[in-house]
Amino acid sequence: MTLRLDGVGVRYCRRTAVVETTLELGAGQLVGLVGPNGAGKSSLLKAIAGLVPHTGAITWRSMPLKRMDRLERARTIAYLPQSADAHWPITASELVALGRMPHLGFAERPGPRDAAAVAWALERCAATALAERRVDRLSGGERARVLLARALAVESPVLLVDEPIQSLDPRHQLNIMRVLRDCAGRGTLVVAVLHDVALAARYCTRIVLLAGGRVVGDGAAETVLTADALARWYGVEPYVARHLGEPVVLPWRQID
Amino acid sequence: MSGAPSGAASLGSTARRFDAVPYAVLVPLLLGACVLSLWIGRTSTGPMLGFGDAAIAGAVLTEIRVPRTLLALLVGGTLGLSGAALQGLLRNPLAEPGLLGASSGAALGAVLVFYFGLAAADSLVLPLGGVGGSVAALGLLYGLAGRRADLVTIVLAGIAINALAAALTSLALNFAPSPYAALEILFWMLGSLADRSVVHVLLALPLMLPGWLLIGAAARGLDALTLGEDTAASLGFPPARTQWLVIGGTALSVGAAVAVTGVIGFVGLVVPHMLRPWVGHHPRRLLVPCFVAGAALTLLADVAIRMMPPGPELKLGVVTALIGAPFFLQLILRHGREGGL
Repeated sequence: MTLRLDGVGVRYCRRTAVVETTLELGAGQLVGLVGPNGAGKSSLLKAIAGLVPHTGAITWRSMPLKRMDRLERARTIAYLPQSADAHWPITASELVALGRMPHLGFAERPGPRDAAAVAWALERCAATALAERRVDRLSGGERARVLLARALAVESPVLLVDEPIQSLDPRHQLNIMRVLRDCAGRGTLVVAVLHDVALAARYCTRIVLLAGGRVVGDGAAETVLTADALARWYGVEPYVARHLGEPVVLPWRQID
Repeated sequence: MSGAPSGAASLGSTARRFDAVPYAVLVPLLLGACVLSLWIGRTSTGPMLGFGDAAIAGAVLTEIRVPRTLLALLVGGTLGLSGAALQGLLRNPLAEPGLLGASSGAALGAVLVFYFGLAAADSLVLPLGGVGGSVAALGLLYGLAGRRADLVTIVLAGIAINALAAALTSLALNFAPSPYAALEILFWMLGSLADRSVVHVLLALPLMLPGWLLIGAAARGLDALTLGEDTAASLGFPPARTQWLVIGGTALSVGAAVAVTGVIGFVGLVVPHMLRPWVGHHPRRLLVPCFVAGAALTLLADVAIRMMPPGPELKLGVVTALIGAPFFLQLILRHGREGGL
């Protein structure tokens, strides 16, 4: 149950966003994809999601993603983009139900199995009470939970999330990170692009540090998000400690 | 899966409730409109109920009323369907089939037929000119925007094509060979269902049918686009595919409609708005109800025209514009005030 990236590179026109990257990501991991702005994190995530053309090969359980048909691929990999929003004022449960689309045939109606998946996803994200609310009337934190529930409703073995905690207050940030960790705990491979190194260090089971389109660090938070690495790749001096047995990495001051 | 059974039951019943109500209202409405359209005719002395003299009743029914009713049904349904599909595609409730240039291209094609005096030669030349115009407009759109174009580019290309078609239509009017030809062009462009025959139905239908099927094939992709293009692609419905299915379907079906009736505006804009409160906002669920409601609305508008007092017949396109334009203005005002539709 591994997602293999074999020499995956992404180029936009003449600019190289991701240089040939080889990674093996296993089920049950919560992988934090971190790195400074422009490191190629989102590009790599989009390449896995099949949203941008890439070189190299990506396989899930030895099956190349390019050989899967579109719905099979959609059932395998769920993707939550950075700034997703609903364009129509539908209810939260209708929005989450869109995550079931890859499971339905052309004229097939959602069945009890789909309704159960929607209810389950809402519950996981503590959004059951929001089910009948219109999404355009939700607060930012509520909407983030509902959008994440949409991605969970796909019930895919791989979940890709791009900056899921951006512009959320600390309580909602912790809430979303816990949901992602729970998913990984039940065997899903979760890959999250994160800007917040503190939360990445605290929650992720594995950190992949990207800089200039290359993987420059890969492993547990303590071994990757070191003072040296943050100084070198982010240009910041961090406060590094342990609290209740968990790593604390706090960017403290800019290095001139 | 704790708590799933109650959730499952409530979600299922919601979906059923939404689906049944619009049809319970729309289907009887459409059938009623068909009966009225078959029953009410128009003569030089004003509206005529029934079929008149027993000797001509059969001919009146089969050669005048049935083709007119069928055409109103096909054209109105096409406009409602393509309006709903385009609003879903562009995720903008102000979108309309005329936006892409298919209507104005078709109008230009027909005007050129008039201009060169070919309309009199054969009744088939005019609709063929219209379809040619709409296909040319689509080809130009495709050429301008490219296969993987984003929607903003497509809308801007549509505006440019509309402007070009309007300019060329004006040019044809400007140099019309005779005042009579200019008048003929103008009257045709107003849009009407009067004096159409089964030939027009048979000409439009083979183009409308594949157009409807293309739009139908895009239905799920339109639902997926509710959450934006990246999410749609990740759900297995690439936006580029949805986009060209809808645009191709609209060009074929609306092009064929304009080719046989002239420009009938605003039906595609108004109908989806009228239905959203009952049917919900899912683009896919709107498609078929919008077809039915578009057909009913067009039939009723055409019946209303036939009920007018004696005099020159009011053109259908004028009626839909008179109803649709204030509706459009009110939509924009509400959009400005509430920031939402």
